[in-house]
Amino acid sequence: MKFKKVLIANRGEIALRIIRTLRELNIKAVCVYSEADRTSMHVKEADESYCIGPATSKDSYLNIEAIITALKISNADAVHPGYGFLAENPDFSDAVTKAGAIFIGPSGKAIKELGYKSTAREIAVKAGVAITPGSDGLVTKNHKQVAKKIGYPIMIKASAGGGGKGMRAAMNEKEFEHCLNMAKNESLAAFGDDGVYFEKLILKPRHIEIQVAADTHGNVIAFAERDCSMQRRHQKLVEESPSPFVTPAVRKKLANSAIKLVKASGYHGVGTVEFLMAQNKEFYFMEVNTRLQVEHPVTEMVSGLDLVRMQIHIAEGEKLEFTKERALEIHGHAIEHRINAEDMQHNFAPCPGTIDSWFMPGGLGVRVDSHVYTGYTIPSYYDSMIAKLIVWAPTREKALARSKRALSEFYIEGVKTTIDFHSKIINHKDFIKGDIDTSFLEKYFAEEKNKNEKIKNKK
Amino acid sequence: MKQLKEISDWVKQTDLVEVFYKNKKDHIKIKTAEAPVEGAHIQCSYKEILSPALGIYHASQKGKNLNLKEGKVVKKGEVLGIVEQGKTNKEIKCPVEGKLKKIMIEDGDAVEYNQPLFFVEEAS
Repeated sequence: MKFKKVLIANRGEIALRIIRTLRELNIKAVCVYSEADRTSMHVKEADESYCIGPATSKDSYLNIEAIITALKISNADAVHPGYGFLAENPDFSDAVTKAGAIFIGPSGKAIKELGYKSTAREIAVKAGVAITPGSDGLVTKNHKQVAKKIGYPIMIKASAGGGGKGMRAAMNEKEFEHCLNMAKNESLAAFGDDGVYFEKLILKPRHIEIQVAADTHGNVIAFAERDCSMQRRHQKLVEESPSPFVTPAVRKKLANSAIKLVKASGYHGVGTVEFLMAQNKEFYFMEVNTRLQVEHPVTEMVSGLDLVRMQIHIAEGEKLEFTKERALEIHGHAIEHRINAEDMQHNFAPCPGTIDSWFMPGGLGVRVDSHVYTGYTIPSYYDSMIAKLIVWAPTREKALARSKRALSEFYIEGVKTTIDFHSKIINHKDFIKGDIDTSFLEKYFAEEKNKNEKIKNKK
Repeated sequence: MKQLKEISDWVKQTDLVEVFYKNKKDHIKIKTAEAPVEGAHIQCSYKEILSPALGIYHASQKGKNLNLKEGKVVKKGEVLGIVEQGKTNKEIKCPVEGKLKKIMIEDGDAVEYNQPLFFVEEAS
């Protein structure tokens, strides 16, 4: 079935990103929006749009009944969930199907299997993919004994968690009880579920993830890895592909593991298999994101393939157009910077407000995915990301130089942003060498604090 | 061209600053030269009643037709129909006592969240 009209159940840059591909495919875009997003770019660019509720996500972008009503009124053929909000909600996927439309993504059942970490680990074990030592599924009793058996340090993770929420590291038995309660409470508040499981904590790991795409005919392809080790409190800030840490032999192993896992689950759509990679390049399966990722453009830049287009074709029931070998081809190097409206001087507090002036970088190898424009007011209800700056160059060295240049060109007035912070990172000797792990930023901030205190003391 | 002149003349007579017109394949945007930067502030002495949800409007309550007509006297709390969203029906209650001046929708229309449905002249 060829889609004529697709409803986008999201907002911001990703809604706009999806509209771009829909337009190239000659498919009409239906957008939904909250009262706070009336002046948003995705509404302006849509062929049709519907106000579905007030500003609070719960009553708008998370309101399944309202979105399904918009789907019925607009008579769209399919729904693209974007990322975040309802993208990994099995009930939403099923509700779209029940309404007679197609969900551009996996079925509710597949989301439950691969998207829920405890079941995903079980599937990984069966498929022969290495996982970090940890509790066998959910821990419902004898929490302390289970933790002790795995051995500290351990990671406490919420089963329904994501984006760093409901996740706590306990370095020893003394910290354990407190961390467990924190993880449970956070998960209960954010996802309405307080199930947790434990994992051994790997020190100085890199976050390496594999983009996959699976059609409904049993074909699965995997792309070259993305390195997302630059994180602050489990929130990714800079992503690149390929990873400077991964060798061609390891890359092959990563791709094979990801394909094995996806094949073992009857999954279709695009998805990302996340791994933790130890310093000896052994890697362990972490989780699957059963949707498009924020950082998907770096893969698009090095592969030259449009992942949203691929999602749509898969949902239309077509066979994958590309071979495994083609997907793994690497053309050059890409780096993504997530530009947030945040005040880095004040612990990255969100900084909503009106954009008085907005000038985006351009030129060869520069891509900006953003919904922001001069005069736009960033609402305080949602994510603080205002743009993704993606650079591409033939080599990593050239990509770093291009990042520096593009960041220096990015001109935003009216709100505080993380652009200067990205400039600092890109000039850091360890990042230039490619020698970082997921704890890089923690150490970096500690060093900066020390430096500042020394300067103060001298004065 | 003639049509264009008609539209622009009409815009000048109103307090509109920007008009977007679409007719099959043609579309045109007209902005008046004296368009204020901040946009016009339109004030209305009538009380607007907004849709509580996105859904289908029904001019009925518990299956009974409400027979709404412009000019009808309405009481505070009186039900002016429902908006059906999936399995839930949201009642539209008149927030003031007065006269129903304008009905913006018809039974069975799709309405958006916060879309003006009625205008009521408040009883003084």
